[in-house]
Amino acid sequence: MRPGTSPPANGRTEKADGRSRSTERARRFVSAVIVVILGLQTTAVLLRTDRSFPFQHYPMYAEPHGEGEHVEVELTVYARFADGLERRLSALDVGLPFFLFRRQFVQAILDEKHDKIARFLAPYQDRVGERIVGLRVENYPIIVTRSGPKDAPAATIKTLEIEPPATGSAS
Amino acid sequence: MNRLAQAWTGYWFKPAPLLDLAVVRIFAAGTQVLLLLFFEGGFARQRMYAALPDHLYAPIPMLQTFIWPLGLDFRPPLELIGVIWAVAVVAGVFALVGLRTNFALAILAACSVFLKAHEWSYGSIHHPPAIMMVALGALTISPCGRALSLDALWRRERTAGAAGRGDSQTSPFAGWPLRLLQWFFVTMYLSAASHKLINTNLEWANGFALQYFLIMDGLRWNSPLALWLSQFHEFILVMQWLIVLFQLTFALAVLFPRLRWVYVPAGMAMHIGILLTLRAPFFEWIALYSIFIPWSLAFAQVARRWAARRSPAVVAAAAPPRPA
Repeated sequence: MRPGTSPPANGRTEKADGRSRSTERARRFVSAVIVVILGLQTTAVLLRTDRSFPFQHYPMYAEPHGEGEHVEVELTVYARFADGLERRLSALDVGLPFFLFRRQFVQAILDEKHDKIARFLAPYQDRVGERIVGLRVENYPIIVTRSGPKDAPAATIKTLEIEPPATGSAS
Repeated sequence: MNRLAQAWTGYWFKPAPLLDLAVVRIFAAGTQVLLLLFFEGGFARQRMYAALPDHLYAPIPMLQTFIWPLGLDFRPPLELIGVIWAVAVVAGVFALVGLRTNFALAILAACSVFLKAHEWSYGSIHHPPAIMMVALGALTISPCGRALSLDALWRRERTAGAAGRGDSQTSPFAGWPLRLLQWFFVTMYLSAASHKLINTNLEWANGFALQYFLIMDGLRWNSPLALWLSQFHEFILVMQWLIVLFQLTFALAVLFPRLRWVYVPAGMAMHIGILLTLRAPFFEWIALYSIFIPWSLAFAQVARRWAARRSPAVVAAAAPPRPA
């Protein structure tokens, strides 16, 4: 009982004690929740990870850029076929939404990850019935200047020869 | 140690208006339901992820905590995702109107986290939804259904007969979710500022970086406003420094509530500006800025003004006498 309070009837004291005990338990539980959530979030921020969603870091719009740099509105991918013709490959062609096309498929080309590229291209090649022998990535024909966007010729930033699939496989 | 415990209790469990918490519940649940229904085609977005090739699927740990009984690499089929999406929408409506509020919020939080964790398991993780997931989780274990809810209405009716047993308007458990989310905002902004400054050796705030993003997203998402704004290098340079300053010092708005008169409008302007120019949809952040607003005070003020306009004589008579 708190100092300075008069003793109430027994039943009421027990009820009040029970309520204060459950409030204290609730406080402890909530305190633990607060510590865990802020702890996990701080850890994710310090480790700079976002795979620990919903605890993650926030690097959005944080890359530095300078005057005259090509603006990556999109990176255009061209496929060269066995007959020598070159055609543009869109996100739709490889069945990916915009961000995944850039972060998965285009990145795989830039990093020369042949296995990954082959997995993306296989359904498309089956569909069109032609084999892709090379890929070329072009940047966007716009640069950033002090006075805003300015046209600039697009440049090839990556070319990659696609190795033919291994022969003699089971099927 | 005892003093530290008292300070902790005094900070996190200071009695706070239930109304403030209830308004945040309405903003959070309402926004989440709208996003589930309409953001990027609503369920069509889920269908799109479910149709992605298997080799892209790499479940993140949060998704694995849901699917582990079926195997850590189990890929949920569209039918299961559809059921979870529908349950989330129904639970969201219940949470919004405050019907079985805490249970509904628990279901909404779990389903929303599952759906987002599934989307993020294909190699592209985005930033707006995380704080909403944490908010829904925190609201789940709070008394946010004790005001502005059908639950509260029924509780009042049930206890109407019992003398002196009306609902109290404050609770020691009504403030902590709001403070927790306020500190969560601080960590997000600090992380964003640290990436901009430390990672780039202070090169980020050169004016060109934001011009670059305005041009990039202006062309990507067809935003004439972004392209128009990208012409003003000096103005953008100043904006970049203001953004970094805002993000670095946001903790002041939590520590000194009076500063919210500056930080909250500035933050809202920043996020709405980002939405209008870069078309980056930080709807969750905008909705959750509601945690910084003392709704009970605002409503009381509006009610007083409204009453004064309707019957000034009554209000004047009810006003306490001024000292001579």
